[in-house]
Formats: sequence, structure tokens, C-alpha cells
Amino acid sequence: MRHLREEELIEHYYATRAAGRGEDAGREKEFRAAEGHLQACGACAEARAALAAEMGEMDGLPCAEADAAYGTSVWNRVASRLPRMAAEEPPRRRAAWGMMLGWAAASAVLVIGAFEVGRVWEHRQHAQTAVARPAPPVERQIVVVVLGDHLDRTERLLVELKHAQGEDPDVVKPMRDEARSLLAANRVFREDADKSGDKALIQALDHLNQLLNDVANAPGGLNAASIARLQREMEAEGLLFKVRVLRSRNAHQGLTARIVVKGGTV
Amino acid sequence: MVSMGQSDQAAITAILAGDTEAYGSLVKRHSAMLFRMAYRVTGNAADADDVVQEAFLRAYVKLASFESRSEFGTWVYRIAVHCALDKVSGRRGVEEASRIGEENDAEEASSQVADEAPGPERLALSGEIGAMQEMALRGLSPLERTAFVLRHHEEKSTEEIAAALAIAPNAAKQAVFRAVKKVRQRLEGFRRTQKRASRGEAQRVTV
Repeated sequence: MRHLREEELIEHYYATRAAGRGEDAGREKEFRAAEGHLQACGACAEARAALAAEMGEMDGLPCAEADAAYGTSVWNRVASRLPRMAAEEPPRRRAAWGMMLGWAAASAVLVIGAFEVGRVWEHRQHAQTAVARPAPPVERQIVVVVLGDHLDRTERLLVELKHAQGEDPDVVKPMRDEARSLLAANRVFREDADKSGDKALIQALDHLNQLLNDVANAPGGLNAASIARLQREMEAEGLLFKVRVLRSRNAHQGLTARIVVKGGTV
Repeated sequence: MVSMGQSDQAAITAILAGDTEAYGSLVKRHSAMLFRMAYRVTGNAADADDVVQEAFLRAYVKLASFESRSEFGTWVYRIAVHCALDKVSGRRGVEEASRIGEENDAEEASSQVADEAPGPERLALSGEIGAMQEMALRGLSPLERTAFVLRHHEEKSTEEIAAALAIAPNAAKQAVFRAVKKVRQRLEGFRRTQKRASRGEAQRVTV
């Protein structure tokens, strides 16, 4: 008989609490299996009881309650700091934003259409003059990427990387997938930054590109040593801080959006 | 102008049509909920208050991108979780930097002992349960602390925590596991200290 691991006991503990509140405990099958085991195994039942007792000590964490006037007080302080952006011309801004995206999407369709027509035409020409080579399948995914969201996601990834320990595949794999997904957009924003001449942005995006590349394509995968090295690099460059500064700056300057087509731009 | 009774969606529509005051109804309606979470994550009222304000400012800037399919309360709560995580991450950086400074100057460090937060022994002796809990949470990384507070105190599911922290559900689950393990270790340490202290007290009484 396999005893329940501490993680399973913790899962069961929180599932029981959720069930006690009348909420869905989630993962019904695992929950029932753990329940069955706990009824049959005294050692696990004891460990589970100890866990409940210890975590019960954390229940009464003191919490200052906001009084009835708190909301008004927050509003009084927030109201004077609201940027003009949305207050002045939100409908027009939204319309302009929608129109811009519409134009961008239309342009994307035109470019891809032209590309496809050209490809078919070229293919036919080749077929007439030479041995036809099978064209590789073209799968293009168009994604609208907003700089603010890109920086948000990047920051989350950096925070995860900063606190990553060991090489648990449940942690490492999502990090690599996320880094791969962020790389393409990062390159696009790097090109934009080049045109704008924004040195701080260029430098930060360059460092980010290198780090994302290391996370996504580390030879032999991410292990404890490579994670530690990346953490040191990230720390030395102050990358997390830079991303936060950029994100905060971007929030005040408005949104920058780009359409990314499979690693390229439209 | 939107009154408190109107729905969040009506307020959002009004704000996007140029009625800034309508945002007041959303702020008033959701402030207490955000404050409670922020207080638990940051551990003090001043930081929690900063988090609440920052969350509403960020939400306002991003309001045009808010999708009405979701609830405004859930959306702004997630923004506030990000802000709270930022706050504890930033604070930890400052605390670590100041600790390094103190380690470099042993004399200065010893002269500061009286001003520092009570150690485990004092906490155990004084029975300050709330402070003991706070000390247990201080052993956690910002991500672990936030995930733990969301799971244990805010009673959020793993999926909700993952969505709020913008990480994979497995990563959220692992963060909670690590946090629980560390909290248990810290509590165990407190209990051992308490036992030692009680034994010492009993011996003094006997003598």
C-alpha cells in the first residue's frame, strides 16, 4: 500500500475545506481515493490530522477590516490621480483603436493573400519550367500582441523563474512554453523600439530576448544549475525591475499593439 | 452619473462614455474586498491601502480592454493580486538589501537588535499568535506567500490562483505546496522553542 505524499495530504486538506463550505472539492476521483486510503491507513490519517491541526493555527490570521467609509476614502484619493485618457474621449479612442486594429487586420489579410497568390503563381511557373517541388505547408497564426500584456506576462515569467527551485517538470515545462510564446512578440517590440530610438526599451528588450531564448532553448533543458545561472543573470541585469519600470511607463503612455505572424510582423 | 445601486456593467458603460464619476461606484463597491486580500498578502494596512489604490488606477487605464464576459470584481481582484505581489516583491528586495548592509557591519547589527521585530523565542513566550503567524508567512517567497494567502485565507481554488497570478495551475499548486511545507516547518520551530522556554521556566521555579 502506497502512503499518501505530503502534497496529496495538502490537496486533500484544502479539498475537504472547500467541501465543508459547500463548494466543489474538485478532482472527485483523487479526493475519493485519498478518502478511502485515509480510512484504511492509520499512519496517513495521523499525518492528515497533524496537518489539519497545524494549518488550523494559521486560520485566525488577524486582518484589519475596512470600515464603511473606506471605499469613499479610496475614491477620493484615486479620483484625482485618474489619467485623462479614458475620461476625455473614450468612445472616440475606442473607435480609433478598433479602426486601427481593423486596418492592421485588413493589411495582414492583404499581405498574406498576396503572399499566397504569389506563391501559387510561382509554383505554377516552376511546374511549367522545371520539376515541381512540393511546397511546404504554410500555417500562419496571426496574433495581436499588446505591449502592456506582453510585459505583464514577461514579468510573471521572471517572477516564476526567480523563485524556481530544482527542476520539477511541472514548473519547468510551463516556463519553457511561456518563454517560447513570448520570444516572437519580444522580437517584434524590439524592432519597434529600434525605430523609436528608445534606448532603455531597446536595452531591456535585448536582455529579455537573451533570457527568454536561454529559458526556451537551453541545451539539455532547464536544470537546477541552468536555473541558478539564469537567476544570477536576471539579478545582475536587474531585469525584473526594468520590466516593472517599462510596464508602469507603458501604462501611462498608452497601449502599443502589434500584429505578429508566426515570428514575423505585418 | 451612476448610483451605487446600478450594476458594474452599467457603471463601466458610463465610464467608457466619458462619465469618470461612475468609476466611483465601482471603487466604493469593491474596495473592502481588495483591502482584505491586500492586507493578508502584504501584512500591513499602509501597503494594503497602496495596493488598493494602484489596482483601481491600473484597472481604470485598462478598462477599455475589460471583457464584459467576466465580472468586474473578479477582474479587479486579479489586478490587485498582481499589485500585492509587486508590493511584497519590492519590499523583500529592500529588506534583503538592508540585511546585507547589516551583515557587513556586525557592531551596527548588534546595536539594532533591540529595534528588530521579536524573535521566535519572544513570540513563543508572549503567545502572540498573530505575530507568530506573520513570522511564519515571512519565511515564504512573495509568490509563495501570495499563493498561500489566496488558497488558505481567501479560499480560492488552484485554478483561480493560477488565473490571478497568471501562471500555470501546476505552478500555482506547487507554490502552495512549498508554502505549506515552509509554514509547517516554521510553526514546528516555534513549538520547539516554546517547549524549551517552558522547561526553562519550570526549572527556575523549582530552584
